Amino acid sequence: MKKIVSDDDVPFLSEEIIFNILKRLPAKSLIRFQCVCKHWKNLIESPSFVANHLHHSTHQSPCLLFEPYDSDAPSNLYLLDCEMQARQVPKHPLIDYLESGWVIGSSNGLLCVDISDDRASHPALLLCNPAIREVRPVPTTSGVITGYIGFGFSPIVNDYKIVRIYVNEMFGNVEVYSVKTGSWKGVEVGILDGLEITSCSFTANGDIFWFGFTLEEEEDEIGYIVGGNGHHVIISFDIAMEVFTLLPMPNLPPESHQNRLTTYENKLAMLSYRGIENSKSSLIDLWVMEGWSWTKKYTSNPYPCFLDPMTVWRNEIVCRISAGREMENDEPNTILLNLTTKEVTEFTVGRSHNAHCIFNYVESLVPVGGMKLFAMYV
Amino acid sequence: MSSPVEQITVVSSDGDEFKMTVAAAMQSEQLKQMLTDDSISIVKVPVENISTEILVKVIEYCQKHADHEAATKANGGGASDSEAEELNKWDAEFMKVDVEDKLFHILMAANYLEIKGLFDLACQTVADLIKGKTPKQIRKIFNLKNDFTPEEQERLSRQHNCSFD
Repeated sequence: MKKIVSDDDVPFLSEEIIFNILKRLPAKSLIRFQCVCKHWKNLIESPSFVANHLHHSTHQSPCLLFEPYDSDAPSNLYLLDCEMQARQVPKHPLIDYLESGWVIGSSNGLLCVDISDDRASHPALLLCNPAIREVRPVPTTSGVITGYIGFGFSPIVNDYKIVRIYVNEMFGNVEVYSVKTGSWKGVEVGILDGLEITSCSFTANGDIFWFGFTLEEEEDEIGYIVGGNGHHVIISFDIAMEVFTLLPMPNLPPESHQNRLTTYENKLAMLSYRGIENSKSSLIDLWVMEGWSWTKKYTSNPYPCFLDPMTVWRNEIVCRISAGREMENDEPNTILLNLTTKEVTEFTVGRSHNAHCIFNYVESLVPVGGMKLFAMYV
Repeated sequence: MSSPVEQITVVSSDGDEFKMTVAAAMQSEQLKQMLTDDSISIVKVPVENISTEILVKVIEYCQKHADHEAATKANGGGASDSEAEELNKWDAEFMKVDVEDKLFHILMAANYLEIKGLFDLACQTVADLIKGKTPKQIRKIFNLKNDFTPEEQERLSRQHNCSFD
């Protein structure tokens, strides 16, 4: 440990201490501080710092991202931080001409945005990090351009991947894009064969999930299909191994709706909404997967209207209100249900009438690999 | 075999002596190691890098946190939410120093003596302080030189849309 040695009054701080201070700063400050001196620039750009900063952000300041379904500013998202302050964030920084795009998912501060349109005049997918304003188009593949898309990170292979699935009763095609290699490749359909995907993707802990429906067909002696007994499943894609498996659903009561996957204490979890008979009130259940089975961990108090549970954030269940009618200007559109105290917090993000898709998000310095590739599309 | 120690004496770089209870001293990994090593019989521990002004603050932190730990144990386990919040409030008040310099000296003392809680607290306080500052202000605070060439500055400014001032 160095002694305090200085001509001025300001003491000299060791590398370790500077590191420890800087890792607590928001991305915006760190980008600015790259201009302080070369030493700080090298430190802030170093992979070990980026990883440490991400780890610190994930635990100390996890955020929420709100994507309005229809709004006056279709290319903007709202970011809600731990102090409950909301601010706007661009979906595709640095690219103004794009009219819209939908966020597929978020991992470690990166967003995968679907910007496909009928004209197909540009790549269908973008990767970006809004906190450091970096954008990278994903090259188009020769395969089918529609289908279900998932995005996620695997620490095992230290790579971000995009999965594109196109399945129906007769045909299945799966492709995976690796950010590391910068290319697409085909992947075995495997257990996905014959399944129907019934939701958007959700990513956690190195896996990408979808809800699916499997049709178990009954055949008679000659092989004609005489009946079917379908049931819902959870499809899991292991990002590292690039393999699909099926997970069971919990034993949901028949009146459960709006199932959505999330995580709770680092485990896969599911949120569902239950209407209460003869009333407009609803309950939210949280199920958690331990091993191969599900346990119901929590049920909210009744809330006097329909709630659409979106995700778990900082010991709260985040729900949006699905009022089924035009909302007044001062009505809340977002509800937090505390998992310990069951306390309810109501607030509005954006305009009251905006319905949002809500994601867990963390600001990071993770690089996407640069804007210069976009020069030809300007 | 040395008899159980109730207190230790620490000596600041100015030569002033201060008594610390063992519980308070154990907040410092460095002092803890000395205390748990039977082969050392401690009389006085000189802390060369730490002035009287700073040492007084550090001892105050250690004593408060040692007392809090003892009270928690007496209540049979985890601190209640309100007790934890009260300690946080105390910590926040504690870190309100009149001169920025003092903050850095406390930080370095906590690092030297390996007092994790105080170190993290001081780092967070500095981070909150510098969050909104300009690069020029940062250089002044940390006594750093701008060693970019004019071309490098130009490129960085454009890339990050920020100024060097």
